[in-house]
Amino acid sequence: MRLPPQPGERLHRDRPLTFLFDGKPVQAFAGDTIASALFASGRRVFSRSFKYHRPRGLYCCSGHCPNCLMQIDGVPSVRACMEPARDGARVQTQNVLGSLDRDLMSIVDKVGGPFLPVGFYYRTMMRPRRAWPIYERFLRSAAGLGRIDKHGRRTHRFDTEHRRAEVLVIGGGASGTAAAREAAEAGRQVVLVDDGLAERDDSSAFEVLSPARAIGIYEGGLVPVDAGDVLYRFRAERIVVATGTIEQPLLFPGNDLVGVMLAGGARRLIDSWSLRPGERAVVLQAGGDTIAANLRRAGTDIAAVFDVGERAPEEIVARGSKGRVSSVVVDGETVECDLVVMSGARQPAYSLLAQAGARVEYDAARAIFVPRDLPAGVAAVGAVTGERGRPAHPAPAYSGKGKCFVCICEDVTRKDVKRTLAEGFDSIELAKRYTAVTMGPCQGRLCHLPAIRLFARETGSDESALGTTTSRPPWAPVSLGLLAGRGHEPARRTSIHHRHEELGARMMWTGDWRRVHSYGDPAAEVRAVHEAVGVIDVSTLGKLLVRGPDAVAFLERLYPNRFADLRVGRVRYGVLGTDAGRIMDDGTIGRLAEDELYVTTTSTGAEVVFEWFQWWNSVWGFDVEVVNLTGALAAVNVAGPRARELVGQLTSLDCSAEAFKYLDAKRAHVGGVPCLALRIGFVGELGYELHFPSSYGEYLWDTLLERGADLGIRPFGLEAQRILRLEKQHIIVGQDTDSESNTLDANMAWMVKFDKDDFVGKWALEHMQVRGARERLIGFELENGALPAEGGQIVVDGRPAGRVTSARRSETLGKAIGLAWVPPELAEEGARIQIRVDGRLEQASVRLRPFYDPEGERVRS
Amino acid sequence: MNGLEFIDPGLARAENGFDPVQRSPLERALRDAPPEVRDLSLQVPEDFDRGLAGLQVTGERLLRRLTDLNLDALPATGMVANVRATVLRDGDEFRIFFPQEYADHVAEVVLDAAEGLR
Amino acid sequence: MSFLLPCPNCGPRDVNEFVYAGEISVRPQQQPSLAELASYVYLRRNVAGVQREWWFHRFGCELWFQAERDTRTNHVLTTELVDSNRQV
Repeated sequence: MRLPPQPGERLHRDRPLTFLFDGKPVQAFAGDTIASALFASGRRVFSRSFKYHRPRGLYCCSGHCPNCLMQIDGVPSVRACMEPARDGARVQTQNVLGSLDRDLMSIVDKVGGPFLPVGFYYRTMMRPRRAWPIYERFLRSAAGLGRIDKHGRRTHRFDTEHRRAEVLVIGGGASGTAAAREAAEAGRQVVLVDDGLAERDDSSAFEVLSPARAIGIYEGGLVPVDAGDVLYRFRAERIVVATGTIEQPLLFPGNDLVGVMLAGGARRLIDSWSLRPGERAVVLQAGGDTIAANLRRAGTDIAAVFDVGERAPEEIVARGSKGRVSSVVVDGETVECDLVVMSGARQPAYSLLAQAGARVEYDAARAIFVPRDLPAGVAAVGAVTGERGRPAHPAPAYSGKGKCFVCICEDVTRKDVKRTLAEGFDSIELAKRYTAVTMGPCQGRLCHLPAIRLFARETGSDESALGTTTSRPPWAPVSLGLLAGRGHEPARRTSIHHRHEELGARMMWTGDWRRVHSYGDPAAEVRAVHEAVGVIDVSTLGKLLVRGPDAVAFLERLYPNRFADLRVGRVRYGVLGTDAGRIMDDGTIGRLAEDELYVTTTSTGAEVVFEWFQWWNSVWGFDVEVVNLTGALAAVNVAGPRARELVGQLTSLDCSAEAFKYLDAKRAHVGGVPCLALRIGFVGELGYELHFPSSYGEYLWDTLLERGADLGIRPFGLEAQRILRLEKQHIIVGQDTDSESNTLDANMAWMVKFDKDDFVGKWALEHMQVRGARERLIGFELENGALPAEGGQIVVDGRPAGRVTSARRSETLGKAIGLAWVPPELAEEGARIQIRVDGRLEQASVRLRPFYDPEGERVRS
Repeated sequence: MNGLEFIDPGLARAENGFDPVQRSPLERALRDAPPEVRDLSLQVPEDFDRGLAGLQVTGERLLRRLTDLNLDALPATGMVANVRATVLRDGDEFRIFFPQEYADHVAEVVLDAAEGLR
Repeated sequence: MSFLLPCPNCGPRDVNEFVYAGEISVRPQQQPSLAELASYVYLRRNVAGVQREWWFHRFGCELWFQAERDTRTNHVLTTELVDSNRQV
């Protein structure tokens, strides 16, 4: 079936290879595409259309149309006409029930028409509603092209690479290559990107990426380029678009039959792969260069040539049998043929330019849409500008019996377009969404212009009034894997992390930190803290050093708390608020020196608080510096009645109750490591929080566990910590508070110093004080052991009136405890509330004081 | 007290039977790293923030798989492997310093990118 | 969103290196009425045009600065570090 070598042939006839098509071997040469080799083997039907399952054959041979989509080596919907033939490749048909040549789904084409008009899915398969699961299963498997493995993992490697270019030329045809050479000769750093189709002579004057497709033009000169396995993210100072034109089809009944193809497709079959596209051809041209010479060279018998641009016929109908064209009727004259070569207008491929911000205008003289008003930094050269187009009469949609396809991707016919207009979708954007025209694999390359033209004719308006639909990236289909890249998820780990893993800890996420949930037995961990000593890695806490002459004044303005009276060497708990009076974050503030304060934040709040501090200081201009030490320092909390014994062993600092009091901050070497030690009490027992350089994380952790072994030390995780703090009714910002919570309603009114001149949130809090509480945060306990879910409803008189924010079973106390927001009138010690648990209403009692050690004797010991 | 000095690892001392040992956050992740990726965590320049991890990476193409920083305009601080990092250049050798809590993540990304160029 | 934002310190960088903090607003100088407070906290002009706004170079120099950007086109006209005498 091969012709003798044609000028421009891409084959290497000395390198034969074999691939499998639906399990059967197919011979090919290096340089063939899958499609060209299949065509050479005699195959004419390459796919079945999307809706009607009509047989489709090669059409454009340049990667625009959907006709050659096949599953190749497990990848669905690959354009066989662009895919190089590889030895051993496994090619399979898709979207058929049965085989390509006998597709059972083609029943849809024969009888399904009335049931599947345009937009049918908005009207049919709705009743009975009970049957929807059946309809859905059928529709989901019938719709779509190709199959993927639902349980598939990454099987293919895609990388992303950042590149820069002074000049990026998109399109390696004659104009693009000339533009690249010119820029290179002027001394610019040039990169040319080409999809591999163009014939070019290799040049070393500039870099060429091929095959590679620019998939869009984004703000800032960003042009992502799909080069198969690598996504190049180019930042270009200057972009030159030389994407040329796209040959448009003609609209007539039967225009999708196998054997009807675009002139460019026929030309490529002949010139690139030395194949005769058909035995007997009818040529339909709307002006332009003739394909006839190529056809003759290939040995095709030319039965008739119609220049439909010069003299538009009334009627053109292609007829066929079993889906393959057998004759064409033009104004009553029937011509037998097995090949119809058609060529409509050459529409500039302006999409990238439109994405960049160019305007698209209808050039009535040339009957094409052309780009205008290019933005700065973007240029267009060659045929894409529209300047090359010859004056032309726009080809209409010819009348005649049979399906006349406007969009072969989505099987939209002329009748569908008429119906769409009749139903009232008379704007081009609405009609596009309703019919799905331009939304298929060709993305409008072959149907946008003909569809607008048809629209104009049917609505009696003209193309320039209608305009075009918005061009959006990606310009060519792109694999999701390429866009996803390698999929690394940034995770933060403390410097002690590996010790936790070695201990078999169950890890969890707190924001993007990996933290220990527990080491297997949270209840035992809680017991160790109450009875002996526990240690928890709290390195994730935000840590900010605020220093300078205005350090105290700065924090006084930011927090509702007072810090002016915070003595050096003392720590205080603070809650940060916004000018809307809402709680933003909380933590401790320790005074290390006259003008030096050490602020801790929640683990997930560190960045936000740092940014907040820096922002307010750009506004206020205090003489203060904020240093973010969050990652630089590790921190551990050693807590329990024997904590003093343990820490005392490791340091020469006097840790007696008198010398190192609750809420003191001291510097000392612990285990030889310089530390800041804070006596604070989140977990309700005597405790020391040690902050020290992170590179000593594992060392100090190991030392504590070693020296504490005799004392019964146990490492504990977040789950144990949550239970312990809940026993003390300590809140967790973000868990027990949300974006609307304020310090007054959350029982922290004692912290708010209204006598201060100004602080962030003062006015809003004053207003809230006057207005009165809308809800109050309280503690509750249930006697009978039922455990509410976090988020569970508080019910009053049968209506939801509040919510549970935290809840746990406390073994120490023998009951379920929690925190909840309730209406203010229920915020009384001993009040009875109802909580919905597992659908039932359970009784609970309100407790306003810590459940465990309400006087705080243990933590202050 | 002069704040930042208390986080200087150099202040640690062997005393009373204690012998503090530092560990590089990248030590485990780079144990079997190829020659073009080296751990510099224990050699962070004096005037840099404390608590950073450091990596030496050889090869411009590898860098371009990790960052969109202009490699002809270094030193600079920007996004490398989705993390804030400072990059310095000496010919084809690049030194990258970033918060140590991202050590495992950055090592994973860099080693994977190096793999992709093999 | 991929426009380049010229950091006054570091030069043009991908906008995703920055945190956006909205159009500038003027904090009341003294005790505001409830309406003034609500307006300051919740309401914004939200112009379709050139807007003066705050940005933070989170992945770079960690400085706050103001930019003038046309919200219709993302064209950034100016960026500058802020003189704290400017009241917000």
